[in-house]
Amino acid sequence: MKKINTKKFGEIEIDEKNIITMPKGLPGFSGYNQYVILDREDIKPFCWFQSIEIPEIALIVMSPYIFKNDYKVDLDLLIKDMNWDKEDKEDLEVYVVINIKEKEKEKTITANLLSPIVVNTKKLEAVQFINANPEDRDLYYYPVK
Amino acid sequence: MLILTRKLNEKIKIGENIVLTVLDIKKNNITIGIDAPKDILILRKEVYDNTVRENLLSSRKYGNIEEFVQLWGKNNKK
Repeated sequence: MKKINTKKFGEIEIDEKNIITMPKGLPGFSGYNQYVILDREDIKPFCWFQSIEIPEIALIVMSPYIFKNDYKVDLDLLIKDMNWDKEDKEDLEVYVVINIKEKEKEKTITANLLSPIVVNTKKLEAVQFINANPEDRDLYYYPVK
Repeated sequence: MLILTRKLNEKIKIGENIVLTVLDIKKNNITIGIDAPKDILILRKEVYDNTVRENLLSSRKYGNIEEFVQLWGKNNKK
């Protein structure tokens, strides 16, 4: 077990076997490549994508399939890009980054569907896979309902 | 900032492995071909910036997770 600092819960213990490395980094947080996914019963269906190096880096993420079951990621291209094995496909987990947007005093949960974070749970690596040719820029703020 | 003027089909070399080619010039659009090693991330800058912005905003909100849970609950009770 390893102790890490989080801003929300202070010091917590995590299993080293759950530490995920991002070889290409996380856009906006360059230099910090090690993360852990924290899920808790009371924050479902959300999780934190928590840096194990900097307590203040913790993105709110969730599975896109909870609200959009036809969501697609080009996993074959991603596997090639990351030099992962084709057999790893079943070990890939997809998360999207969540925010709250306020429009005319109404708050909506939104998800960035154009830059999913894909975690290879076998290799313990992850990448944020940025869509290079977004057809619809509103998909950065897809309403989660 | 280094500024270079190029004509149609002329190239710019960056470092050992990157070459840009001006493929087409129209009034407000320039088409650029990029030859670069596969491990180099090439994106339209605003696409990268949008991702960074959403990441930073989300990380700034993580302390307010209760608000997300509350909004989620409200929407899913309807």
